[in-house]
Amino acid sequence: MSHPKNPGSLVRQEPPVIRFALIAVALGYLAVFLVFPLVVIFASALEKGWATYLRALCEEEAMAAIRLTLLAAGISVALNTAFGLAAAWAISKFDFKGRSVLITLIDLPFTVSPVIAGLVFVLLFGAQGWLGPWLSEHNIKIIFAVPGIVLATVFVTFPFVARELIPLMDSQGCEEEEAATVLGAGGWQTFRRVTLPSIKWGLLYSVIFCAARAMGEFGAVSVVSGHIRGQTNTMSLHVEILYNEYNSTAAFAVASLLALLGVATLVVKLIVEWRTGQRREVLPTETLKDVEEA
Amino acid sequence: MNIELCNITKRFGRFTALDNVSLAVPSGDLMVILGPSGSGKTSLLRVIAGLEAPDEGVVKIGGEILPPWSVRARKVGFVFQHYALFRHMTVFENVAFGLRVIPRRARPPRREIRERVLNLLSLVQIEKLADRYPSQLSGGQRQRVALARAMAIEPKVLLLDEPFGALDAKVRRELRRWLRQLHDRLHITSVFVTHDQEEALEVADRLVIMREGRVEQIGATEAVYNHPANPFVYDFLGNVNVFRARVDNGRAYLGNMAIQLPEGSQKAGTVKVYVRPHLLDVDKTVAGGEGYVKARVTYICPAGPRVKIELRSDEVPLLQVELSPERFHELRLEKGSEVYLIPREMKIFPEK
Repeated sequence: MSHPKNPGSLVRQEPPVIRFALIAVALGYLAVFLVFPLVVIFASALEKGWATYLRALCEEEAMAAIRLTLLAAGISVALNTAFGLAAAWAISKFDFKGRSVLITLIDLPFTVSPVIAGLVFVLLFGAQGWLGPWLSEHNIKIIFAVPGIVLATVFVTFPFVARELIPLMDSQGCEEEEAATVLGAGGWQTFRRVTLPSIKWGLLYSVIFCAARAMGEFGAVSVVSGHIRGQTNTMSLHVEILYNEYNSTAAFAVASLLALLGVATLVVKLIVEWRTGQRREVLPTETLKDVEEA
Repeated sequence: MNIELCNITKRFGRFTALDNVSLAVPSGDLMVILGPSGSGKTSLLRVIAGLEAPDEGVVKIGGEILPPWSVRARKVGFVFQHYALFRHMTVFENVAFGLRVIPRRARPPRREIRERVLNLLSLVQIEKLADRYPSQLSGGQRQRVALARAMAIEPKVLLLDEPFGALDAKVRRELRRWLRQLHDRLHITSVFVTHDQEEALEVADRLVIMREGRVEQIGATEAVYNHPANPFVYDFLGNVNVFRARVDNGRAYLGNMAIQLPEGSQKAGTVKVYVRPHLLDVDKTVAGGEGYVKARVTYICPAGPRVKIELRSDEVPLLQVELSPERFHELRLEKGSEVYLIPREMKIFPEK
């Protein structure tokens, strides 16, 4: 909720020079580190015209990379949404042993380097790994195959939904759910009619973030992928390969697609924030009094 | 429908919230559970609703023993202190919720739901707010919605957990009167939890006083007020002055008073004498033979319908007296005045 800015407050009485300097620093920083690179990506991608740009994207290997990225992101988002909802529900509505441990563990992928996450899966499922012999006996391929990429992506992105929902559901408490139960609603009805609607914007927001992060993941996926073109290359891996081959136009073309996904995420985020902001608006007290008297 | 609680015990970890509580609410009564915070009154209400399962004991509504964890089947109306309205639903949808979640076979048709909700909204006098969201309502309006929502399922009993606790004093008094009138009209068995003695005395048919998970006293409101079972109850039901009196041969000595103790009371030691502020007469002189306690005025609060005076006596550092403004002006009291206090009525309890 935004507070009305108080024109008389001390902070606002800074001399104009300082105010100008602060704004300039913030905007300049943004321009150098965010806007400029974005512009470069799109400029380089379109350097040789639209035809080359589209050809780079429609190339079979690029298409395969896009498909794989969408697949991995789709599975990760679905799994992490289910996990995030379950974890947030458990943490915010029940009091159980290991609650704080669970909260801490959910943060793990944020603190562990993605490369290490990838290595963990190699050590587990790789040919020399713990489960490697058993897997090869049963002819199951995880590392250097699609399942490995999905696993790595799920690992890296699993905090996103849970982290967003835990504080939200915690702050809402469980009184509304209790009220619904007393009124005769079952577990599923309570979830669908009471819990879900009150968290839907937060949930959407976190799903978008999770998807964006899943599509852009590089480190963990790079370790488990094996870089087999057309088979285990995701978009970000494909960009790297193209770039290393001095095919910078194609590299930037695929990169621009990733960047577009990022920008689209931001737009949706803005819309979500705008909607939630609208919801929270409360009528001024005068109106309330009128109604009370009426 | 009547409610019966038999030997209910509820623990949270090592803390005992309810310690072997038994009580009965006769059908159609409005019972108020009164107690300080932490006395277990809310836990008791939640056990009746089925939101908590008791560790021991049974809950009966209408003579039927209810299994624990049968919240949905109990059909109780529950009004929460902080309303617990569904924030994403309009007032209308909030009230309709209990009807919409009935399984399809038993659910009333749409038109009937609509009619019933509108009837309820007019019962709680908020028909005009049907399309508002909870965030657009004042506290008092929200609690009316919560009450209408609880009534929508035609509950067997109505449970209210400090329903007016979050409202300001004026709205509170208004809603309290309105609730009492509503109850007199509908006669639904109700249990109302509060820590506010004024509120309790005003709405209750019957009163339960609780402390530390135990029932201190149960009875008709007037009986509990006039015949408190112990000092805690007396103290909790209003302001009180406490004197210590020496007992000698069946008489308690306080100031220059000798109070005859009832037959069979203690013969020696000390007792505590409790007198409410409005039951202490103040005078500047005393007629011979009248018992009194001497005191000196330390503070006067003349605003309000009763003049509140604080005094100090040799034995008690703080005494409170309430006078009518007329009497106050007649006496011409000021800070430092020496006065005589004559108790009109007192309660005597042995000292523990």
